[in-house]
Amino acid sequence: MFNKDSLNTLIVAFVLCLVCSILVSTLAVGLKPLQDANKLLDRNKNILAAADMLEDGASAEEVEAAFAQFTLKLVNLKTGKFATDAELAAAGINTENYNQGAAAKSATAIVVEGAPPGLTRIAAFATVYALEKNGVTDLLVLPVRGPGLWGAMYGFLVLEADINTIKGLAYYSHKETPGLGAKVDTEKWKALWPGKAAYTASGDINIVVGNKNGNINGAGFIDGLSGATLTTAGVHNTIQFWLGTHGYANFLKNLKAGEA
Amino acid sequence: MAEQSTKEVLIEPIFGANPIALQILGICSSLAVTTSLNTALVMCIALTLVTACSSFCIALIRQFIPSSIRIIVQMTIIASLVICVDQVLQAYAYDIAKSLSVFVGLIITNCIVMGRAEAFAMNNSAPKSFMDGIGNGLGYSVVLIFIAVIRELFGSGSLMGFEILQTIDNGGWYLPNGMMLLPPSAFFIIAGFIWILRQWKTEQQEKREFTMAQQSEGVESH
Repeated sequence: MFNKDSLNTLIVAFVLCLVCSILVSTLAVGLKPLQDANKLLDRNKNILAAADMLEDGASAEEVEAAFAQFTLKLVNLKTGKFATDAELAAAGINTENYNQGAAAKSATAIVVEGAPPGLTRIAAFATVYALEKNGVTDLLVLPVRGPGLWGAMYGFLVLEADINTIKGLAYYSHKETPGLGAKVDTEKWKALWPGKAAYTASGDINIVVGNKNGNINGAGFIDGLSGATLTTAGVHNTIQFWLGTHGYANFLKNLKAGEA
Repeated sequence: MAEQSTKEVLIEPIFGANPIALQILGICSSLAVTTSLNTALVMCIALTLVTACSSFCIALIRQFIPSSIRIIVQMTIIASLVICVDQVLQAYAYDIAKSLSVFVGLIITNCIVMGRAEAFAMNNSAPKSFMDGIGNGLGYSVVLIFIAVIRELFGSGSLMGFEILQTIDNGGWYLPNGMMLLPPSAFFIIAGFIWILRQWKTEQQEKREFTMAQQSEGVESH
């Protein structure tokens, strides 16, 4: 059926694929623990950086020790309260292994009409990190994401003990233009955030980012990045969304009232 | 082409037959990863390793590769090596792997790797092909480093993240040239590099495909 040449071709192709796949899979499986540890360390570092608790050149152990002060909690965005064990059990979620990114793509996600691109489906449960002192929330780290110019931007918004004053906003993953939009993660721009109130006394969102997006004389005005109008608008929309009723607004209200 | 010595194989691609400047291969990644010197350096090392190792492997088994599937065989070997590089980077240099993101994967499609495999490794011994891969990798590196130095220095006022020209944003005098950070600037700089190189090595200048007709002389009116 086969002549000698085509049989030879098949054998070469088969052996090559076998060798290559063994090589690649051995390496991928062997290095998996290291890669996972790196990803976790990177995320923890970013949370600490957002909370202004990361010292320059901190070793992996120091990061781990500092991060151990935080408690990981899941918030039910539908009810605006911490997720109860019953809710988690019903949704089949294990707090330690919960992947918010994957949950946003699953069937249980909340569909938000008219949301900015990329935010039309959000996970029903959000992972928040709380630093508690004597049983009272001292720092609250809220993950935020939203569209930038070239792709989604991921970051953490950190609130102080009054659950209103912003301690910092740190983006840890984005694809913005280097030198322009990528300045969202420079110290100089991040320094504009601490001390700003997330909400006004009447409960409206206080933050306005960039002078095209709202009242530039308000107390919550944060100067945009010149040359990066679309990135700035993306940050503005992200913050509006996550501080809004589809985001954490209800949860933060409940938490302040002690009802979360 | 006459038989080249191993030394020539290694040195020649750096300036004499530079893959980017003479063959105009691998332009895409040189636009993408040259906004900062750090990422450019890692990309150079990764590409040099992949080109060298893939040429070596392909040259090693070149007698067994049936010509009907040779391109697929080359691709399989290159792709496997690139995945290995990506996995190792993610495990041991996570920050850099993050900043290179998709571009490590795109080494697979870099014409230089494929070009050397097809043009050199299929007809030469394994050690020589390895050196040829290293040489071409270095040639690619020279251009990338040249572009990255200019783009980072004038685009962000720094080199490898260290501030050289203090920018206005940080209280200095230098106003960064934002265009340097956008892809078109790499085109201009590559063109400049090629021009400089061809002024130095004039044999690289291409012959005109045609000569322009003589301009007809204007008739002076009286």
